[in-house]
Amino acid sequence: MGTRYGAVLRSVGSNPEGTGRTGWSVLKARMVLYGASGLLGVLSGLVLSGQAVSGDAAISQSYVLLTIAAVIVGGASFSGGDVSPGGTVAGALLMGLIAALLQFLEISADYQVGAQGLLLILILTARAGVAYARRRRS
Amino acid sequence: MTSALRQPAAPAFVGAFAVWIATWLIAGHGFVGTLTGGIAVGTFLVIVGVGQMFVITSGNGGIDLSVPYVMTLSAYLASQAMGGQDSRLIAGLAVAAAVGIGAGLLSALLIELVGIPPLVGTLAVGFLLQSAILVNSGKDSGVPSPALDHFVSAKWGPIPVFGLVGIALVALFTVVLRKTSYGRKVEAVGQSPTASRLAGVDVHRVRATAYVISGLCAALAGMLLAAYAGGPSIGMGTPYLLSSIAAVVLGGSLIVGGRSTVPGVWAAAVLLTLLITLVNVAKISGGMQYIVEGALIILALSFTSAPKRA
Repeated sequence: MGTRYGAVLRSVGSNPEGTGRTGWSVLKARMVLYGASGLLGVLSGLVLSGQAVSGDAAISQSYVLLTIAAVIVGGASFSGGDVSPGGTVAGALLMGLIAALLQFLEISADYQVGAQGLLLILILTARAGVAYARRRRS
Repeated sequence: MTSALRQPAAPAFVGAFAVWIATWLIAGHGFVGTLTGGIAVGTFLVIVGVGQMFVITSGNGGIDLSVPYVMTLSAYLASQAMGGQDSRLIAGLAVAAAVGIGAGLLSALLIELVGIPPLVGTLAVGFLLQSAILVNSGKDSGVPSPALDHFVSAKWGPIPVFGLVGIALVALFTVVLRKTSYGRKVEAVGQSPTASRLAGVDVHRVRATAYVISGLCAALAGMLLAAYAGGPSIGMGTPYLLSSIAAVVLGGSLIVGGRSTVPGVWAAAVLLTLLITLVNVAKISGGMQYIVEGALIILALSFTSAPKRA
């Protein structure tokens, strides 16, 4: 986020053509980004298999959707270029805490995924509403 | 090269033919049976794939990730409504249609009205449906009507009736896409939403309808699949998420939207279904099937994006 190359990586998201024109390799930046995502995936896989004691071929399936949800809930824009690492951590915590909350309220685990989906919809709808209201005012 | 081979759907037809012949050579028998079986079982994927194709073709990053959950929920609710009785077939059909249209409308509402990106919008709807599946699968899982079971597995001599239904659906949707004003609008909106809007097309409504079509197709396929498999199961829709997208892309439709081919979806669906047969016949591990599928998609995408760079 604070480093010079971090700014380049973000600019690839918001304006890839402009980034290319200033002499930075867009392809290299994309490779760094996907590489970082893969590396972090491996790290969390190691932690997860440590928690689950053994490897399980299907253990990670729900994470495909949850990671996207955490990033979006954390305040990053979907079109790219606008990121918030702190928000993503908060988003991930929120997603995890919902599960704990539902358990605490003795609501069946069946509703957990649905509650996460509903939260995603509510947050995005609220954000769209705020953006709309701001546009109306200006 | 003849003009037939330059059609976007050509690679899928050639690929399906190659996999058919390869399966026959490795197995040493079942020349006709392999193909008719592939066409019959592939029809489930054809139905889901055509729905996915409408969403992808309408552009704007359109993609329907709720497909597997719509299928599974529709399979459970329709089977429960039918309760193994032919007299309640209509009730089952109505329930499946309601699930599909409801899920499609919700996705369309979130994406077109609220402005949520399609990837996240259909994902959120998928989350909601997943809970609905878990809640509804706990009680009796329901029994599909025997007539429906007969419909998906009936044969006229060596020809599976359900395979013919798939081919008829391809003809129907080709007419919808090529000859009706709605079909032309779907491609136009995918190519240029701005130009379409200036030409008087209600862009949001066209895209919204695509999601409803996708939901309806997935729901019907889910109900039929339950009848074919003798009842619904929790993970029955899961393979159709990747496969439906693969069928659209391999078939020669553009992943960015604006160009689509229904016969291509059909050929690609048959190709992917025969591929599973080939993997089984050749006694390759089941995991290899996904590797081959993924490699085929990458291959198809690198071919379709090549002309743009030139």
